[in-house]
Amino acid sequence: MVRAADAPQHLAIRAGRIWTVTDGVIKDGVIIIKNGKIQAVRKKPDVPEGMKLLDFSDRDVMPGLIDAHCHIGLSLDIYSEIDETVLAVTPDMQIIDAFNPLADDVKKALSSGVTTVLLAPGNKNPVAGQTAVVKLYGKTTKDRVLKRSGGVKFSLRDDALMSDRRPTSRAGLLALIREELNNAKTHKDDKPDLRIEVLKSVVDANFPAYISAYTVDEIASALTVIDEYGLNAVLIGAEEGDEIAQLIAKQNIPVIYSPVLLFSRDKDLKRVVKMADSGIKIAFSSKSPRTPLSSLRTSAITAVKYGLDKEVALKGLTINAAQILGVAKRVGSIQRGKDADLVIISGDPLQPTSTVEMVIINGNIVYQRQKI
Amino acid sequence: MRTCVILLSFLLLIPALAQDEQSEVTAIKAGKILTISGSPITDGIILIKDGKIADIGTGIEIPENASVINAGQKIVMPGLVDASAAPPVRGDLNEEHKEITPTVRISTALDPQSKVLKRIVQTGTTTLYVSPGLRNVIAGLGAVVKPTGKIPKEMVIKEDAALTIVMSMDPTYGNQTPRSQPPRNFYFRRPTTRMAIIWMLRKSFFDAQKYAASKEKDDPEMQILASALDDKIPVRLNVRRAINIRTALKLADEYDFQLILDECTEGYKVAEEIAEKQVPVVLGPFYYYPGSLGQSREGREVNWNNAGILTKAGAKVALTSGAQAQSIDLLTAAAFAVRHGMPRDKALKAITATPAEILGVADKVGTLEKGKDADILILSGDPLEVTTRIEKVILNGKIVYKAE
Repeated sequence: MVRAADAPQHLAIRAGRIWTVTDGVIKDGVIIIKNGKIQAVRKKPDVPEGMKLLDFSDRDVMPGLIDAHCHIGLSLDIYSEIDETVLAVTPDMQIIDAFNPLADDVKKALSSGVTTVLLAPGNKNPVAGQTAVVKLYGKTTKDRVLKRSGGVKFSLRDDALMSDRRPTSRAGLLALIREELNNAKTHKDDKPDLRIEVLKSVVDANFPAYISAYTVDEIASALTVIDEYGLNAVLIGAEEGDEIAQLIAKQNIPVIYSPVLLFSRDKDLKRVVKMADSGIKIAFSSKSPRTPLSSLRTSAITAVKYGLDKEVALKGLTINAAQILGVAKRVGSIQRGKDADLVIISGDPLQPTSTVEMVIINGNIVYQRQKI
Repeated sequence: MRTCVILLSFLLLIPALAQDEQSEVTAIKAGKILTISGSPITDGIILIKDGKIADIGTGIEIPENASVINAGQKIVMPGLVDASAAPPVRGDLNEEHKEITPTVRISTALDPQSKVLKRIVQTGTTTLYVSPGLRNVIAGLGAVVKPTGKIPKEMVIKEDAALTIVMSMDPTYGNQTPRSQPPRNFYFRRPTTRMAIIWMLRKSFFDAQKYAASKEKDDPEMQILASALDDKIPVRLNVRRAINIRTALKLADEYDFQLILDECTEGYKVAEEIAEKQVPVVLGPFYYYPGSLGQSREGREVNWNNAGILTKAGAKVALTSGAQAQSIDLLTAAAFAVRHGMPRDKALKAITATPAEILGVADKVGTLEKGKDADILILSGDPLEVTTRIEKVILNGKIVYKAE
């Protein structure tokens, strides 16, 4: 691994194909990087003089991948680090406070081509805490953290039920969430309460709600709550979402889909395809450490194998994920003005044989494949 | 001008006619139709349109485009209504963190993919009441649902159908007194006795009355209790012992709420009082407990003549599966009730029209009448005969089960 202590101010990358995602594929083009940002994407292979050039004329370049739901860098025993289960409702907890950017798993993950991730608290609290969007490399906190607080994670999963703490039943879980949202709605400003104020911003100010729901009844409950309170919501998981894909599409709720690699039956593997075909915006996730970060791209490739449109799959790894996480101004595609988060890959990104050769974050080369 | 008007009215008629042709009409021909609402129809026809009964009687003209189900000499009756059914719900039925949980709505926990729905349909039940569990004194709100639909919302036909309150001993099970050690979990609490159950209930009602009289309306739990005391939501009181039944009747008088008695195992001991107060009774579950199982718990004896005695005293009785998946089915329950003294017509009503009335959905289900939902059973013979089997179950006009 090569870590550039001082990235050159100017850098040019020549590539055989540039997968811009938003502007199609550019053959034999050049990307000019200045101060960590993409300054230009050119359709001609000539490079201005005096610039450091990385020549990948026989390689492909794509934007850094975005893992829309994972628990990386949360160190030690993962399951105790993401669930604060003493109380069931903890919207004021922030996952960023548990994130260690120097953790081993973060360093190892750089080889996967993933450059940006959504960190989320676990599923054991009905209102679990605030999510964050971070890059896997950055010299300063400002470089690294895209969103310190990106939304509040809710869980409608059975995992949120406990035998010795409220709620113990599914009906109680929904009653609790409604109670909290109602409290937030009717809360008066003269009594400051951090916990309620976070939820108030969810109910009143469109602060995103990330709702974890997998089965049909869980998703249906989520849709009802979203509709009832007019939430700006994203579904996490939504494994059986194809059964009620029309309803999700009608309410225009984007989905951060569970790792496709967790499934083995054809029926399950086709679900994400059906959902995308119904017009639902999909982003892929690894749920690391459930599946390694390196399997994110494999998840999308598997979905393509089962019929997903290639363009939709690539967008699900990049720009769609960025839009769902609210960071599309900085990452998600190769466009002038965006952060220089790039992946140099040996071929078509959606071919299983293609290998990640180099990863660049904010113009810094953070990973380079060792020649064998 | 007149021709213009005639032309216009024709033009307006055309789409209506076109729609008429598009919507599917099903006709059922049967040797005998038990309407439950009136006397049986011999060689009758039922016309179904848009999931509703469009017409019923003899000599009805069947439209050309109708698909016909010819039941021959078989018997047709309304789909059964189970006023206390095995819950199609995933996970715990009780929200156990405290004992008064009126805001718990069981409809939010419905699972459309639940396996119990299959048996419910196979045994001829087309409408069911789903209740929260019995571990809390005030357990929450139940819903009337049909065993069909992709999402919970599509299943529900009546939300907040009743408030489940438990006076039986179930809320005390597992509770402990924090006498010699500090409490480790929320089970160190009241109630631990029958006395305390009723004390908690009285206290809740007292608080609800106070809440109703006050100006601040910001407590959703009290709101629900207040609307139960205001007769807007009926109260389903789970009682087993005669002493509890008497207390229930007294409480209903005191606080003036709409009372429905659940389980009512010892109802036969106080049949006259129940009948006098005109309180409906939802009986069940009916099953034999083998040997030592459950002997220590109250109300596990089966009194097969309970339904007969209550009916003869003049009480309104519904027979149910008692929220138990392993209980006997409704037709068998009705057959046993008739064997032990319940009049035949009352027994048939006790699994159709009566529970529909008790649940407040009698305008939709329970009998075969024009305008009601097309929930229909086709039986191989008399419904109360043990050899009879259910051949077809029709729900909202669609065949959902066919015997092989």
